[in-house]
Amino acid sequence: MKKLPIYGESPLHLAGVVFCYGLAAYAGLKLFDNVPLWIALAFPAGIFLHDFVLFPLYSGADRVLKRIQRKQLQEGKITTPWINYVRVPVIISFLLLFCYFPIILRLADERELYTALSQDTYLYRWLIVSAVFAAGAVLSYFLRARKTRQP
Amino acid sequence: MPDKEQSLTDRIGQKLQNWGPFRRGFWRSPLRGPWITSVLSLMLLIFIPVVFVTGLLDHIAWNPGLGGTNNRTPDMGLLGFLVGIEWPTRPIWIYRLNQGVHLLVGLALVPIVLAKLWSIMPSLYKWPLADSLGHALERISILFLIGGIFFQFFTGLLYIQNFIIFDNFRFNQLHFYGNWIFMGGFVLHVLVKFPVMLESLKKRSLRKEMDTPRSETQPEPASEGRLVSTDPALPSISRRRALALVGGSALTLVALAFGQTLGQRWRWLAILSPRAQSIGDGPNDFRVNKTARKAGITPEMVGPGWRLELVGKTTHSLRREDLLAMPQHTSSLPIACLEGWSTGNQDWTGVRLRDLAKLAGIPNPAKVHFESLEKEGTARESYMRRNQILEPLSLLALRVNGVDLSLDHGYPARAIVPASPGNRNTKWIYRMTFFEA
Repeated sequence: MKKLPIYGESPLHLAGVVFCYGLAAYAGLKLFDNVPLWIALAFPAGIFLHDFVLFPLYSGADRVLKRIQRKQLQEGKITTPWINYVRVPVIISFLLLFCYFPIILRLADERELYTALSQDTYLYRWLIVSAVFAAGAVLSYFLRARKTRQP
Repeated sequence: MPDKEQSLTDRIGQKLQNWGPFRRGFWRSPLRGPWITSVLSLMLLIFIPVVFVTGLLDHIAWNPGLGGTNNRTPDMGLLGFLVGIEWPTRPIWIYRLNQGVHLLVGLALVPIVLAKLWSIMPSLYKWPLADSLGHALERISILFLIGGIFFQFFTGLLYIQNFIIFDNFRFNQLHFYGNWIFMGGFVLHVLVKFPVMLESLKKRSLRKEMDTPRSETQPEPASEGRLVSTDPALPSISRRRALALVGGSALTLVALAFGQTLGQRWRWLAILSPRAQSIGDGPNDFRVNKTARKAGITPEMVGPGWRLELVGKTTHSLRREDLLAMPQHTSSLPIACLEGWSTGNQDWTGVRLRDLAKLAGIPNPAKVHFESLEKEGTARESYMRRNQILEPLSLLALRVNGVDLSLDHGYPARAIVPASPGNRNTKWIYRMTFFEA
């Protein structure tokens, strides 16, 4: 499609941008009529926390694990790579914490009053689920390693 | 002057080219590339509309046009285009299914969104940041797109855990308008990227990729753009395993939460989700949204002095015994909460709403207004529409599962209307007003 002068993209693109900003601005005006404006910070904050905190942390941790694994493979200490057996339980455990941190860390003070349910068991539920995935990963790693050793 | 600016951009570009994440060789994953990004995009393109539509259906299910707290987001303006649609009473499980899907698919989005962001990280660090005015506006709109999806995740997830950080009474505003802000970004993004996604998907065969082990995993061609590493490391995982990890994490989150949409018998399947516990095994021990204690209801308020004020053409003051002396009917209906959990079918016994309408002298009402002894929160009152009143399964329930309602479930009397949000089925009712058409 032909590109517009100055704008540098197609007319369809311009229509999309107008729709996007129009809708977001309209909804934004309605929203901040009803809630304090500081909540608007949640939008950039989410991106910032992901791009400059979460991503560097997990990719950095992954890089360290890869380096250790590479060294062990080179030194002949192991023949079967283990990194994915670490990634799976850690990722699942992290996702559960990411979604349910308020009840896992017992931050939701109002919960029991509302629901007649305490939040005391969630830390243990989370630990048990994480432990089950970790145990499953360890077990499947050793089964895998034994299989590769046998010709 | 423009020349000088141009050269400044170029000079920054030359410096940045070799600095940190702006250096293309900084990104070493051999899996990154337009193909894997497009596979994840396709998953999101399927699931996001499901969450969007079920969210809008919840909006309709509250019958916001009837007013009062049925309308959780007053003054919607143009965004109120769905107001006025009549929400059906059948099938009786439609709201239960809708909210279960909204929550579970919404949860499944979390790992897919994080994986998608992982796959496009290198494109965050490119210089110049935008090629044109249009491109700049498109890039800024990720504030609505990515900022928006995190906003929706967190407002939703914090709410279902009763975690009060943003004023939770404002949850409906946050999640409703937040959705429209996100949708702005989403529509633009799909408009611009849909053709790119289709093209990238065609470049590799999914089936072939599913047969490729780690040892044979090859990077995508570097000519495919910035997502592809120019200095790829040896693969530590195959594409099929990486996709299985994303899909498997999504399924795990769903599987651990699924049980909270099931009845007492299967409730133990809810292992890690906000309504994973059970209150007990008695006839009144199904899940409760808001306890009597939280609602400020004391036994004295609902003692022998309690009366139901029935208002219509005529006004009646009814004792609980008067209601029990009327024809009693039993409906087997679930309680389904907008928070995504629900109970199995409970056997509610009480007086049909349409019988009460007749008693009030308005056999053909347009709507009814329930008022609760609870003084605060959206559940303090509710309106129901004509089709909901005339539905034979709709009751003013006095008993459940063969015993009197417990205080937490709305003793002495509560509304129960099939397929309607739990919150609209007012508890601790002291006044019912029927309105003529």
